[in-house]
Amino acid sequence: MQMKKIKLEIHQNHRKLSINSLPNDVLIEIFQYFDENSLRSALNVCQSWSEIIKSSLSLSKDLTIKVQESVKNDKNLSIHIPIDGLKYRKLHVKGPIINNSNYFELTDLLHKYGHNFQHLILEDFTCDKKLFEKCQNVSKLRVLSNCNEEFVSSFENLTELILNIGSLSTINNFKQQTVQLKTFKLKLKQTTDLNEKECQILYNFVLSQNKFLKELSIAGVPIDSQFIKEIFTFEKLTKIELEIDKVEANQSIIKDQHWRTLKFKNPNLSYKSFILNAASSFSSK
Amino acid sequence: MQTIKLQSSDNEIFECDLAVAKCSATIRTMLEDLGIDENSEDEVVPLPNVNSAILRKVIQFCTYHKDDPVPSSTDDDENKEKRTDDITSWDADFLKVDQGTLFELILAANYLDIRSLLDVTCKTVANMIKGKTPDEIRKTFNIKNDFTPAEEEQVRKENTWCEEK
Repeated sequence: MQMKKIKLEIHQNHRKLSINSLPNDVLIEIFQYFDENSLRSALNVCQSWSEIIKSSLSLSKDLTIKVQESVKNDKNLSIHIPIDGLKYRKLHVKGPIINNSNYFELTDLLHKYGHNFQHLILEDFTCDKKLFEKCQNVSKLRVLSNCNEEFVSSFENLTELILNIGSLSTINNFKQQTVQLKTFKLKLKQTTDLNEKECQILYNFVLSQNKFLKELSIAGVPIDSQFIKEIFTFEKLTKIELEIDKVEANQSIIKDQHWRTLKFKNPNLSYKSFILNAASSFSSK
Repeated sequence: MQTIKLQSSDNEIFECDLAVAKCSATIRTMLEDLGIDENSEDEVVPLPNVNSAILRKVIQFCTYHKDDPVPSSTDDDENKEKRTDDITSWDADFLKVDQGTLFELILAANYLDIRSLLDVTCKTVANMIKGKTPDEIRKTFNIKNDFTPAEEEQVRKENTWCEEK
């Protein structure tokens, strides 16, 4: 009887436990499930929540700016206002910068928040170098379709570069730099006008990253066997995807390599032996 | 089947499957690092941060989930928005408890390092907050509004500015 009474008291005592009895890292676990609107509400509940949210990097949100849409609606650029105090990790800018007013609005935004972004996606986007001068923390850059190329030299801390573009001249702007890419993916849209010189620019760029690359993917560019031989000597490369156009099937190329993923995309029958050989040498490991 | 004895903060002893107890990374580490002999009948693992009511629920949860596959790491999938609508009906029933108990379960899951229990309890709390205004959140959880009137005004301004857009 005595025991039961004590237990009841303990239990009642625990009922007083409130949400703010939880340690900060647990509150962050809870806040991680929030979308931006819920985070905005939570930010305004009390001082301690506000401080936790503002100081936690793991609560960063993505920011998408679609210029085209806002122009169509005859509104200004910012269809999505960043919340003061929240951290943003990824920025997706879509659409050309058309008039001066939205250009200045975007400039303001990037000057204020640019340092937050680690991941930048640019789509159909034309701009100058100055726009991204505060975006020094960008480590992942993805460029989709018709972007102009000058701005790419703004980013010096890239480890991941994904290009889905129409011309190889963008690569030339990277060449001047000291990027250390772990991931490089290139998909070229029109291959008709490619000349050997342009391909060589790409080859040289990839080869300049030989000490860092872990993942390489190239599509839409003819690749010669000499280039393939060279990339097979990259020490850290573990994942490779190539759309091969002109390569000599040569089993010795892939001997004694430690590829985890090896994917060649080519419907051309004459390269099937190459693919098969690659697969069997991998599975026998 | 191998069993283990767990002792709650209020000195109640629970005997449960070793496999169930090992859902807790904390207990796993205790057994490995401290060299507590798993075969010893008299050995008891003390859990001074968990009371008997909560420990009973934790054991119930782990017993039900002990054969669940270990979730694969999704760390590299950063685009994936974290969901809260994927709580199974068993878990939802299990967590139909008062707020105090829910928070105690969270603290226990955190202390015992039981990832699946921590995830589902945090999701449940997140669902209690989502879609509410700051004032409704404060009412739900009995939180004191400690912003100064000036800060409140600032917040109000920021919010109207956002809503206009």
